Amino acid sequence: MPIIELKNINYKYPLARQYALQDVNCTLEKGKFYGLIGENGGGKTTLCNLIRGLVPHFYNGKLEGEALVFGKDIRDHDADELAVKIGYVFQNPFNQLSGIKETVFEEIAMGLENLGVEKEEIIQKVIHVCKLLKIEDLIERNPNELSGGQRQRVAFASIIAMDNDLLVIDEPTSQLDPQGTEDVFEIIKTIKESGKTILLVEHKIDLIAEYCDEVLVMEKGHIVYFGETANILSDTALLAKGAEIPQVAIWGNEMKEIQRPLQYIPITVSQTVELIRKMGGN
Amino acid sequence: MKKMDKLALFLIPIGVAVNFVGAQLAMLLKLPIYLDAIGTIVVGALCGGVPGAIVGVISNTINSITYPTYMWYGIISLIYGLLAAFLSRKKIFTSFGKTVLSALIFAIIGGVMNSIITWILFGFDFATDVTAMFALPLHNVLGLSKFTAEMIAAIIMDVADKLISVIAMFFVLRSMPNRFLTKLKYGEVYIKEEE
Amino acid sequence: MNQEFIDSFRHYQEYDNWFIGFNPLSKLNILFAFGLSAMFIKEWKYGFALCLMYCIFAILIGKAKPFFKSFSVLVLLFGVFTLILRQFSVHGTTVLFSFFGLFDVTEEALINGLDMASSLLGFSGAIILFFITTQMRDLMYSLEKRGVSHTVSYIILASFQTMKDLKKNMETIMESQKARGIETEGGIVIRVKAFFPILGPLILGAISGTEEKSIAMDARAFSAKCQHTFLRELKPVPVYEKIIVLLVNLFFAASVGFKIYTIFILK
Repeated sequence: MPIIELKNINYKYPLARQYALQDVNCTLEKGKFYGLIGENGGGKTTLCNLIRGLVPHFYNGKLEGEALVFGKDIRDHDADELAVKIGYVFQNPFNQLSGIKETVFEEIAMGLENLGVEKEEIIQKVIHVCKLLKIEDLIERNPNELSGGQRQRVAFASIIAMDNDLLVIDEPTSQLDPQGTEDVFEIIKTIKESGKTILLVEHKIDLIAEYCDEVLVMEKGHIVYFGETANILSDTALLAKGAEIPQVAIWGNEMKEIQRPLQYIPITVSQTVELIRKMGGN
Repeated sequence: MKKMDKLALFLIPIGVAVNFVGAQLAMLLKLPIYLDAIGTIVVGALCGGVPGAIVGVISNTINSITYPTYMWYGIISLIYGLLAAFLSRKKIFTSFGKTVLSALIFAIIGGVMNSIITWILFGFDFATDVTAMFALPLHNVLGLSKFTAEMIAAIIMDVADKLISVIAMFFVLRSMPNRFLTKLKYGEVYIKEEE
Repeated sequence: MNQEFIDSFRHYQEYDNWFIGFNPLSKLNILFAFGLSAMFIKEWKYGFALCLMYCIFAILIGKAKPFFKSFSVLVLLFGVFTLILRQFSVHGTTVLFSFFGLFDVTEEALINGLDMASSLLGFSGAIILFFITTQMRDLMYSLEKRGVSHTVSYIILASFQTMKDLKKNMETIMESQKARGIETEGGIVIRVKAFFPILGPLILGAISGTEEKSIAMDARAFSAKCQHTFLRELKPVPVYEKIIVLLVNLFFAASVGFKIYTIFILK
């Protein structure tokens, strides 16, 4: 069942000369984990903004084509309601927390308070999310005193507590140090296991290779590739489009070049190990 | 439009904080002026009179936590916010020269209101701040009436203060990115042509 | 996870001291009434008696240190300074003594100064007491319960936090600008010029994060139109507290009435 359907979308920001999205067509199914990659300025964030309803409601500009979110045209959606239905975590860990709550526990609870959820239910949901994302040790801390990585984890928790159907995650690790990045990877793994529909924008290609079911590649406002992760990320043609592919995939392609083709081109380390083990058996 | 008001909402705490930090910076640099209204006038100029006035009043109220009598001067901060919005709409802040002249308007209004409130508050006599130190000699030496002395001193003090404040505001308004300005009430006044 | 911490949200918030545990709006009412009374009744005997009461009260409720810290600054500023300044501006006739030969202290000027100082301190003391016994978030909670929109609550609480954040940013920017060669010491022109390259980036940086902040808050249902619930709650106002507030208000009304009577009738 499609959650998002985009048909012949063209979009231009106000005062901009060029179209940020051109001739975009795609369908996102419920329960799948999508990766969105491509060079900077290629339209990835704009696509996220469109799905979230920020385009056209917040950013205005010129939108052509049909964008159906949860079966309804984006222009007919109430922007505030949509903001709550679609979870959004983005790059900057310092702009996502309210700053007005004195403990992490209350920060996570804030979204539920705003929705009018009963107190006991709020408490149960927050406890559940903290356990799920392994941030129990942070619940009494002041959110304003946390590091970037810790804030990002709290941001995730605050959004997930709201039980959205669709989660849009825009480069969540780009401003974090290696430890912070590790922690976020863990969280994404947990979310995937919960079966939510997810759209993840990332440059760290190994993350995409590890978790995504399908990948979209964008360049200059167009979607240039869309398909299953293994197919997309094993293709070196991607490199010309400004996107990366996993190192192991590059290795796999080179093996093909030197007439030592592998059974299939791996995109993760575990696939590589599996392949080598099988080769060893010959 | 609803979305514009939303952004103004989130600019209000920033305006309040800028008022404070401006004053603290002035103290750190040992400048003999307050510089505590920059946030008010920037928000007023960009988002309109109501947000600007709100910034002013909130800053003022927070100030009263340490200096409770400041509470009564809130009306001046409110007026600065409204005034900044009015002048912004008239495109005064797009020209450096006109901006500098506007400092005079702020100073006169501020100075007059300041002295009126001080007058009522302090029982028709002088207050205790730096202004009083100027006003006293004006009264005792030049023989001006107490009220006139207080008023002139207040205006002079305010001119220097507001001059620096409006210049700072001018540069901030000029440096705002276009795509942000499109979302603000008076933003289009400051939008620059793309090359 | 700390069960006690989580349980604390299941009950009303508790405070050690009976007065601090009063509803924020009750405290505001009581203290504001006392403070205003000092401004109306501009008599030094009343004003200073009130100040003494504040000091004793601060000690009783265990807030002596923060109270005296703030109050002593004001005693100096509004008390001593006003008193001295008034000797210059009020011209009396009954000279009491000479202050080290610098100026004469007259009876009229002294009384005037004392009245003024006590009225200012009587007002300020009450307000200081209010802010040291009340957390901002509790005040905002009480206002929201009375129907004030949570947007207002957010703006005020966010203002406090942003002040702290911007102060930190300013210190960082000042250091980096100094490293770039911007002088912050020297003649007044140099110092004034240093102001702009520090404040400018600070303001622009703060503003640029606003867009994302507003999107993030929307994602947390900030703009949802339904009735909000509260995780952290204060107890409802007990009857005895309401009575105390009423008595204080009556006292205030009486004192204002008395003052008007003495001014207009007893002339």
